[in-house]
Amino acid sequence: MPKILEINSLSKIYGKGCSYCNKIIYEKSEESICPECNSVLALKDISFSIKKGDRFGIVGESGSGKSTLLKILYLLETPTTGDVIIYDNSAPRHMSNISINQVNYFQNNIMSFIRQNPYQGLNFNFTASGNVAERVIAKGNQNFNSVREISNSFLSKTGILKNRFYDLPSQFSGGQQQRIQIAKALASNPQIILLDEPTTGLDLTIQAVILDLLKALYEEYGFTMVVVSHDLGIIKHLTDICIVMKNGSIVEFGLTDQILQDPQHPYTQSLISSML
Amino acid sequence: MLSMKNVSKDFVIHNQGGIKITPIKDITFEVKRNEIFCLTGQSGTGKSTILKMIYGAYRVTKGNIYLKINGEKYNISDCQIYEILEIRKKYISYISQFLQILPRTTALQYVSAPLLEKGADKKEAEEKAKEMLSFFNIKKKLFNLSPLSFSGGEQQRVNIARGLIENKPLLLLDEPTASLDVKNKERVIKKIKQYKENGGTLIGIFHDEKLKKELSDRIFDVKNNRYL
Repeated sequence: MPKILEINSLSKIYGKGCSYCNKIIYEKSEESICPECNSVLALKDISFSIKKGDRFGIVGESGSGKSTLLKILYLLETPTTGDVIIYDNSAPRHMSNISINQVNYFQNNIMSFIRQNPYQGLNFNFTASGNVAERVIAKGNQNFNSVREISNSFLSKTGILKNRFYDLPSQFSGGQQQRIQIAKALASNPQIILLDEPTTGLDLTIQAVILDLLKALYEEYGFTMVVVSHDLGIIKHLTDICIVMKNGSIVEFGLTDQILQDPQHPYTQSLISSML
Repeated sequence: MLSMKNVSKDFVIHNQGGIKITPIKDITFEVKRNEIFCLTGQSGTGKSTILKMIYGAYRVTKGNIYLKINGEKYNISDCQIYEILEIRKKYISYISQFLQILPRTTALQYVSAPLLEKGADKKEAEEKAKEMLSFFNIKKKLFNLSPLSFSGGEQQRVNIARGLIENKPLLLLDEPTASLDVKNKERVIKKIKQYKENGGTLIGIFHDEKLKKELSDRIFDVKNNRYL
């Protein structure tokens, strides 16, 4: 399979940054706050690539930089240094120098982002159907009937009942809100779906239902899936390849079963030993 | 078909003061195409570790594992992750000692999954899975239940049914018959013999001495690094 996403020497500093920040980044030191200028070093010289159709996991504890990385991939944040390359129909497109219009194009056509908190991923003033429609319209469809038909078909696909299509997200449970987010993400037929802790905060039975739904949809649509989670169980069930992050750096990269069965890095070993 | 050359494996347990465990050291053997090759030795001699290294689930610390299959050559010790995924998809089935399954997956889904992953028609895959399950004496009424609620022997038979459904050229079996009664062991033996007749190669661990002798073309003593 061809590459779809490439990340080259990506770093992210929150703060003004200084020469000592660079020293920490390139020496891959464990400090996450620069003692000289108090900047936060969220990502330190990260490189990896993802192929089309991969189920790719990013695992690490809170503060390891995984969500920052996902925001940069979805073009919500810009890296301090380094580049993200997205292969659009096999043509490499460098994200470091694209216009706002192009950002919209990539966010609306190539990628979708499912957030941990539905309040960030859904518009709570729109109905469930309206939320999905927003995405279909953003992709360029302006035919009212077609937009409604497409939106409702994706809601059905994710298990939302017909008589609830025009309810507001606030009238749904947490699990159902995640289903609406998934329907919304799928509606633009994206090549890449980014998921930030997609089941955190849901009770265990609902978590299982959402994981099964994501797996079934992956098998049906074959999109590339990038899953961020602190939960190794979710990474185990949803991904084939993963990276382990700590303090903004990648400490381990491999097949998910290799990482789980034969972890090499002390941090990965401690993560696995704390699995429930 | 497969050769292990001076293969060693170290596990370094960092949160236990960096203790190093070396279950296998400088292991060398060759497996010919279309043979049933048995690994033997007491518990802890590294038999399962060898199978997991061949499957790419464990990294090789030292040495090489060469695989020559369908005109292609790989050194599993050096393979990138995508190559390992490709090798698994095309050539290797692995049946572990224990059933690794989500509690919501039915026996039928579990056994038909490898065929569906290869793009087979759902109905055909399910028919084949039903055939395999019936062959291994799994009752029809259990097909749509989770194997986690089955007895140990039934779970093992479901596991074997999944491993054998695809007929990949290389099959890795990690103690597949430990909890089976005589009648069911015979079924497994029959299927393994069929697999060999169809050109398959098998590397297995069998604790049952009778089964080991009946099935194996060659036996390798892992502890002493020699053929028996």
